[in-house]
Amino acid sequence: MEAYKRRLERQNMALWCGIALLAALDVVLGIFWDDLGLDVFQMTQQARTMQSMLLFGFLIYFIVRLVKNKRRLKDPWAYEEEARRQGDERRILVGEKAAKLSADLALAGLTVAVFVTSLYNMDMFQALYYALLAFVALRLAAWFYYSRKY
Amino acid sequence: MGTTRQTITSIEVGRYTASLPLAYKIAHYFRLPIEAVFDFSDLEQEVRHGGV
Repeated sequence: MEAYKRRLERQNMALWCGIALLAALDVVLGIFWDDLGLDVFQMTQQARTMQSMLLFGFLIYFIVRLVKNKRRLKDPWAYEEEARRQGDERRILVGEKAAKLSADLALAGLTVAVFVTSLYNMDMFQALYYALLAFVALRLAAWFYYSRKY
Repeated sequence: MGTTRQTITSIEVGRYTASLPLAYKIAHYFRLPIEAVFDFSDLEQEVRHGGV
């Protein structure tokens, strides 16, 4: 239980940092929007909407999560229940299996996307290509990390 | 036992196999040996027929 309490407190610290960073980013973008050299002429409405959704969406998510964590720390019953749920071995196993499957499928999808964009759009191909390389590197690094740990 | 009701249910219906520490905790809860709580007949057959 104490381990879960420490984990929640670390999480709260990270959430506060995340909220501060997002708020700072929002202010910086608001003030220096015109001076950042952004591609505003080609920026579609969809891209603008996605930017707002990501920025404010994550901000709201962090705040809600922080409030929930603080409530959990104050209520011993809820805290114990959540600690038990987080430490449940079946839940961890299901999460790990689902993560591997989704990572493998995402890798396959990204590979197909790289191939298709290489035929039509060089800018998108470059972006996806480096994203694919980073994803493969991450997959390998995670594999080596866990194979050495266990 | 540090686990959820859902996991216990999954163990009871045979969908999930408990880890050794969890199996030990369950057996300890009922004050019985592990062999009395869990059915190892499939495993025993496998071992008898040469599998490790």
